[in-house]
Amino acid sequence: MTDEEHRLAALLQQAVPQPPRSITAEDITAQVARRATAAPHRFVPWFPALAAACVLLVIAAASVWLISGHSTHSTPTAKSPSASTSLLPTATSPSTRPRNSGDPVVPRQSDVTAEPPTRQLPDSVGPWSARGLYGGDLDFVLVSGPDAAYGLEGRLLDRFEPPYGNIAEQVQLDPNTRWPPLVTPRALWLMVMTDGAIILQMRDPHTLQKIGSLRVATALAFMEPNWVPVLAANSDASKLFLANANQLYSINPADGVVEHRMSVDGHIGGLAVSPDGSRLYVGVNAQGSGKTASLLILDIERGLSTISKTPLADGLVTNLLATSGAVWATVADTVYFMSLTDLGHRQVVTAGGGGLPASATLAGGVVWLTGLGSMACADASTGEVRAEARNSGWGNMANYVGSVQLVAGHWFGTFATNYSDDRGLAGFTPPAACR
Amino acid sequence: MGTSALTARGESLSEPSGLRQFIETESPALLRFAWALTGDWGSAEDLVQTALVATWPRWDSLIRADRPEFYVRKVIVTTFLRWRRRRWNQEIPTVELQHRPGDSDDYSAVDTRQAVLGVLMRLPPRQRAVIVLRYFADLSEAQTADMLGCSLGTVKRHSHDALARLRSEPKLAAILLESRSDD
Repeated sequence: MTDEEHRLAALLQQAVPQPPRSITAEDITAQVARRATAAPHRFVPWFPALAAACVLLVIAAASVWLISGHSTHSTPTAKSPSASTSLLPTATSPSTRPRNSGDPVVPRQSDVTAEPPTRQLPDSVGPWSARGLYGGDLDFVLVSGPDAAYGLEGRLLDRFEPPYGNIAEQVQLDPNTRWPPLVTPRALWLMVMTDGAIILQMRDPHTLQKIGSLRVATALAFMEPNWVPVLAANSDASKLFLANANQLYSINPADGVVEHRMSVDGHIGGLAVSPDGSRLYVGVNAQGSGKTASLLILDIERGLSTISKTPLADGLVTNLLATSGAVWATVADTVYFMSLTDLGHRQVVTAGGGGLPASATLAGGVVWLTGLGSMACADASTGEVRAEARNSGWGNMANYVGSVQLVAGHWFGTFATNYSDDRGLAGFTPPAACR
Repeated sequence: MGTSALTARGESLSEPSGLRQFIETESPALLRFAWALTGDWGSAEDLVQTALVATWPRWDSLIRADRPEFYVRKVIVTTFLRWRRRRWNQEIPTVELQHRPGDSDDYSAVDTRQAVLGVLMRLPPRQRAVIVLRYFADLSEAQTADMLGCSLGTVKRHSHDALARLRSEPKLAAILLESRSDD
């Protein structure tokens, strides 16, 4: 340290006062006991006996046994039946959560102890040793670049660094910014809705500061809060593809020029570019509810000319993922695998629901299929599931770990627990079959 | 005297051996450390208690690794950084700190302390954490990086930026310049 730093150290030692009181072991004992007894939804060993007693009592009273029987699945402080909606983002707003809910977030400390002092998800673990790294009201869709993962917390963009998931940067986003962004090696591309245009805002992947923007004029009104356009790029980010309602734009990011524009016969819910950059896959939702969505395959090199259009499934396409020789489409709560050799498709996971989306992400060379109560990895080419973990979501166990990302050798995802309203960033260790 | 608490599974969890002595001897230093981060005793106590509660079930392994204090401080810092956003609206940096250090000091010393702490509390949480770890807890840059779970470069950048802001306070700048002139 320099003399200046030594002087600062001495100043700090002088400036920080002595505490007015000490903390005692009794204080900590009381805290531990209080937390243990206050854990509102833990699974307790005497639960089956209590449940049986309740059921017998209800039968004897000849009351509405069905409803009462259902209530025995809750601990005394459990939420009302509407608690099933507690996994929705609105149930976990900061103002309704205790400041100190849950245990502290503690980074892994491999040099301290063999048992990493991370915040284990309460009551055992989540799928594949999932552990909470950061408790926050994260959007369930996580994205990543080579050295960081990015999440959305309300209007805050978080940059999570491996290995501990610490927030390295955090910036406030413009109003009307839509999530998720597109991550390219040089920028995070965020879509900001304005009247008459979509602004493609570029932010530095490290500092998250604005570094540029493109304005794409759009003809259709799209200011509805729930309307989210879709953005994709080819592997070297030399072409951007923006979908808004039934309009599709091919954009040169170097100059912002819209090179091609076309209309499709439905709203676009997903975009993906083939790994070789030759095909653009477009998930098109048919007009009207309950109609069959379809997959449109376009030739990028031939000005987005149509190659084929194939029916997918009933419901809305919410995401597309392209791997070598295959497309993975999330339609409603189900992920479908479609082989490009025969355009046949099959359901590979049905796992969404409860406000938690089914998702398919490519990380570490395999496709991660995640959703409520289920987590699986599958071969990126054949769609064969290599390993799967299921979680009943009892008590405070995580019943959702999704949007899997691999960042610098560390696995991340978003998580949610069943009753505790806890959610945020999780780390986990996949089985060997998935690596 | 040993005490116990219940785990989340309803089991009795005895007070780990040695934890009581650790709390008694280290809590004043831990509280000062937490106060340097938060600037008020209520939050400092919350942080330290949270860290010690987290330490309870891991105490034996921490003792074996001979680093319980490091671990507790790490939890304090991590929890502080985690709380920062939720507590954001409660944090009102002021030039005149609400808490006044000891009465026995002369006015000049009090002014200097207030200047130091005033600037410290106006630093962004991560920069403040780096300053407290480096210059109050006397950790090296590598240890600070380990504590914060970030790279050495990040620590250096935060340290550089924070020092620049500390120097922007005239009273502090005068002291730091004085130290240079002493060389």
